[in-house]
Amino acid sequence: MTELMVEATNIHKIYKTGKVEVNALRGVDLTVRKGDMIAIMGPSGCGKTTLLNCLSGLDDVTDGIVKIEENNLAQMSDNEKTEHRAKRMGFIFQFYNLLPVLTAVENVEMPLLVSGIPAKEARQQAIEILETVGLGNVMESKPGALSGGERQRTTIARALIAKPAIIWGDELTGDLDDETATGIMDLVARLRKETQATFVIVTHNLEVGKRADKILYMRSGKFVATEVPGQGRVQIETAPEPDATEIPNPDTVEVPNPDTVEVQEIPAPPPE
Amino acid sequence: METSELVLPGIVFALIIVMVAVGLWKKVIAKLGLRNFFRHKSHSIISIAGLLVGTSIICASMVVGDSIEYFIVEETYNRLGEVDITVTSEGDAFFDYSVYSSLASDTVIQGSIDGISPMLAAGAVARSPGSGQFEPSVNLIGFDADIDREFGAFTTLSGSEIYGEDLTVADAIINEALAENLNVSVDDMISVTYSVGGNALAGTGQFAESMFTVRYVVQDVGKALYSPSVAQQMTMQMGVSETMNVFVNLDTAQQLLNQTGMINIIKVSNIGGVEDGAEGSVELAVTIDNVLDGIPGTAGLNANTEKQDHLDIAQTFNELISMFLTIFGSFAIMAGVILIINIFTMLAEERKSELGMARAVGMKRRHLMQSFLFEGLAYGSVAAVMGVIVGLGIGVLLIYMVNNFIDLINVQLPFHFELFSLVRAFSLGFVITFVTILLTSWRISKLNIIRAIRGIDEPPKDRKSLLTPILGVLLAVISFAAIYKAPENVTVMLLAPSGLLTGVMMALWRWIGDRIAITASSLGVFLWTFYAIRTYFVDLEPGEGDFLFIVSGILSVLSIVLLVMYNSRPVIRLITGTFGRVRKFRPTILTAVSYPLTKKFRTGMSVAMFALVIYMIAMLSVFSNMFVIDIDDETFRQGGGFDIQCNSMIPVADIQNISYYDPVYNLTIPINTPVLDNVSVVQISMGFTTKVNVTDEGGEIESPLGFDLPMFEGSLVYGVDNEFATNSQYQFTKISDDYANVNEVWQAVVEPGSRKVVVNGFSSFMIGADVGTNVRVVTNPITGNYSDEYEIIGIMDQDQMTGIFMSKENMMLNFYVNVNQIFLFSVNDGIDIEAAAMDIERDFSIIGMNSMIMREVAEQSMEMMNSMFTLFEIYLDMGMVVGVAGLGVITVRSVVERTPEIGILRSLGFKRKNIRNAFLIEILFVATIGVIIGIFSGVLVAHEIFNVMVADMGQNIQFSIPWMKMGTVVAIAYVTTMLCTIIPAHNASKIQPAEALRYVG
Repeated sequence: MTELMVEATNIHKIYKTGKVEVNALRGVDLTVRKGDMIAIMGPSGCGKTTLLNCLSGLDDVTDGIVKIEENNLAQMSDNEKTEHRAKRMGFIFQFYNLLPVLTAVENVEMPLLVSGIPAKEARQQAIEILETVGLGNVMESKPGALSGGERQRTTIARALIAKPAIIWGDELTGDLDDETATGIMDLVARLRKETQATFVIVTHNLEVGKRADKILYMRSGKFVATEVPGQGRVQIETAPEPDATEIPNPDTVEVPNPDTVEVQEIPAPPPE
Repeated sequence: METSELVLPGIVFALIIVMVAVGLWKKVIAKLGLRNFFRHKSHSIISIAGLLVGTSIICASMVVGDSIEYFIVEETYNRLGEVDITVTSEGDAFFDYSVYSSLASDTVIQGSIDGISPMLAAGAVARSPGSGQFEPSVNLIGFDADIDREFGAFTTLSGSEIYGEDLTVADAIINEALAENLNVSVDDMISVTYSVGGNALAGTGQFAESMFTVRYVVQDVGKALYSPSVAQQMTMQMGVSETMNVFVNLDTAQQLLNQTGMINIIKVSNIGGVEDGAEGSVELAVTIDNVLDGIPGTAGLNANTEKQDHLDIAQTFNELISMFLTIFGSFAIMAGVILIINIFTMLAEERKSELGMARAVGMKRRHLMQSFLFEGLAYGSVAAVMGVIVGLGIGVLLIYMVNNFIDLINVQLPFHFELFSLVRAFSLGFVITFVTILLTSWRISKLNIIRAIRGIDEPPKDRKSLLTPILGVLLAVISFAAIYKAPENVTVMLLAPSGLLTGVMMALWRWIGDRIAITASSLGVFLWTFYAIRTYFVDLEPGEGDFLFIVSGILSVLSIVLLVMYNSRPVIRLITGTFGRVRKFRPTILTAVSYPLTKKFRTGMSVAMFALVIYMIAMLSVFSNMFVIDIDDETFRQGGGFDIQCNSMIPVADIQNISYYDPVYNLTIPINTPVLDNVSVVQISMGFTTKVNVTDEGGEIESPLGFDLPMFEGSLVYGVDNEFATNSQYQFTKISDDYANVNEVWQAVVEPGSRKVVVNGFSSFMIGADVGTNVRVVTNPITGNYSDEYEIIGIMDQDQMTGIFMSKENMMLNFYVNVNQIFLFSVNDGIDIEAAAMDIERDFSIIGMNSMIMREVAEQSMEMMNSMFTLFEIYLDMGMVVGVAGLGVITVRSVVERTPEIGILRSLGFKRKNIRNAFLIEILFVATIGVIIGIFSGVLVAHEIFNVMVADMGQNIQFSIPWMKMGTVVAIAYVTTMLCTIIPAHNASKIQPAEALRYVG
């Protein structure tokens, strides 16, 4: 039997803003096997990023159990979770999230330095992976001087450099044009093949989703459907009504039902 | 208050009115700006804390100055009462009573005054046969009770008012302080010893003793505290000694002093009360002088505007103290200004995308500026008001410390401030904040809309722009013209060459680039500043020093900060290469160092802020260390090899053979002085010249302090003889090249017909004298005005006799003084110095002998010096609070600004402690560069100033760096910086990674 990488059981996440409570996740169950590529799709505000953060240990769940490689996150200290993140996980964020004061190569080598790899070796590996992603000529540039596609490739290189077992991707192509987005996804596919890493990605983009082994559709904090690309969509349950206390948000209130409406790509919000 | 002083408050008032009017006109813009002020209350509080620094330092300086002025003014009113003008002879010589009668009957004078009274005063020694106590420094004052009524009454201890018209020849009125010291009360007997014959100072060496019954003991207010001499008034006012007066009938005093029909003081009260009487003193004094000119035999008599002079002195002290505190505080004020720039740059950075959006929806640049200015107005007003309140608090603290911890003066300073000082402090603080915000917001408003919205850094400046080269050429031309026109002006020579180089580099910038241009100009400015201090600070004009001191300090610090910031790559390599060798630290160090060195402007500002504060502390530490010297060396320096220095109230011809005259029995009785068996003595005569003119080939030399006050115009003059020349071992800071050693110098001074004199170090500094210059002393109470010129051939290194040393022969010629008043004792081997000093006071109590043990003097002077430096250091530590708090503020804002990056780092595997450490290391990195630059430039500038201005002050003053002390200061700076930054750094580490990634400000 293939090894389980992620096992989430009935996870809930409630955000509290003053007296207002927002149910971002309402009992999500999920299993991801080693080498799988899972895409989580859904409209803005449905809880995709929150789920990703909770699964990766960047955020704590309010209720439920999250196990990563059989380690229960709730039973791990902050330091243990951090070390686990450093050694076993890679992150690709929506808005590149590179450190603006470091050059591309310094950004990429950072996970290795954090893991205690000697500086020379880290630099060598960073140069190699940057060349792999086609950035050999801009590795001494700072993020401000890179294009959107270059930044995203830098982020991917950084996520993969420590050869993590699992990679979390949040809107890998959210801020890119179609052509660049396709290039990025091709790169991810190639690297996935080479590294055999597990990918859990969150996306709006159905084209991106279709590259995954399985697509999970979310709405109002729950999975409502699942799809293996090419085999059709399976309804899991009816989408719940939004929480009465949920902050009114046009995205959450007017979310199209994935059973009936194909998920549309929406323009990305301006960067922070 | 002068009209020019109203300009600044006027500008502030007008600014506020204009801003309010614009606000009413453009409500949306005003609302936008003001809303930002209230948006994040905690952020606003932190910003205000940073902004109020400048105002609080200015306010504290003014309040301390006000308190000192108030103290002196109140003391002046208290001591002089109704007396506004006194008519005296130079040297307090006696003159005929008819002078008083002539002045009192003059119709012109009568119309301007409400009182005029004759007095006869002389130095005396008082003793109580009952208690055995004696008081060596007493004024014996004869007055006419009927005439003196115009100057008010004495107040007895029971509160009743008396005028003293019932005094008999055997009665005296004494003041409360004297009664306490002698332990006497009404009806007790006291004896008073005084000089007889000649004049009070130039006595013949004979003195007499009379017994009086204490008829009244009067409270120490008003005319009970009148002091006949200006020098005495000043020492009394500063609390060095108390006023002790014995009042007797004028007739009695004339008879006892053998001066029948003579007086030596005429008191005059202008029309008006105690406080407003001083107005018009100068005009009235001129009128009196004119009348005196018409009276025969009044040569040497002058009308002195005594009260007005004291009020001027009070104001000068206020300005002097405020100036000192402002000079020291100016670096902290500058640090505060930099903090304001930093805070607003960070605020703008944080709101960059918001500002870009505002521009995108149609706001013009000036709207952005206006919006920032409204916010700045709110910050400026609140910070200025808070700054005034904090400044008052600091003022209270400083006055408390002066009163309780500083042994410098023996008085209790009252806390006092003028409302106008607060208005000035508010105005200055407001203008500093407002102008800084105006310039910063102008810079911010130039943002590119798209880059602002997308949060992209501004690209390097377009080198094709001609603005910088044009400005550079302009600066270079102006600087060159200034050098050409005024090469002798120190300010020009300090600033213009730096301006010239900077201008040239700006002109060449488009071809050579930022780094070379800034490196060359900052290095050039740094080196030139040192050269200028070394070369030009020797010839400072009066009053020029404080401005140049501040400017040279700021130039040296800022230039080196620029130099380091634009050459930071080697710094990064050095740090990451050194500390990054430890694998565990490398990512943390890399992050910690990269942030400050990427944001060069902001980091440069933070470094400059900290460096300026450390610069001033380092410099003061170096200077205070120069005066920490070995107590034996200091004893020898102050004593010139003598163990005890004494002065007598009554001068004597020869202390080894004294006797007193008993007028009752007409007997001369020798005094037994067994102490002379245990000591040897050198005797010095003393006089006071009312005016000193120092000249060299170029004409008259002004005092470097630029004072124009009577107390600084005159000088004490000492008469020395061959015995002194042979036995004294005083050190010299400088002697004329014409003499091989100190002995030759003294021999040249004391030889018959000598035209040479020696001046002590402090006096030479005060009057602007140097070896090779000539000094003209003006005075002679007996033979009329006499003026004589002498060449200065040496500068003595001692502080106990301040003034000019000449031969006794010349003393006689100038002052008609052939009696001694200062006695230098060497104690024989095996004799206890303290016991000998007590014996001297006892044996010579009849002439009012006061002794100073030189070792105690040395200890006290060192303690006084230490106390003074401690006060300044404590004051400067406020500056350190600014620097440290500033770094704390910057850390808080950095954490806010960098929250998303914290999320990224956490997702990459940075543990909480790594995040905390990264922030701490970053701030320590900034602080360390600041400390290194501050200490480096502070010590170098101190060294240059030492060479130029201090090295000549004394042989015991050596340049040395107090590493221990500076190490302590640096350690305190680091610990407090850590304490200020640990909370925001800790908070940063506590942020959940997901929350940090979500953060949008």
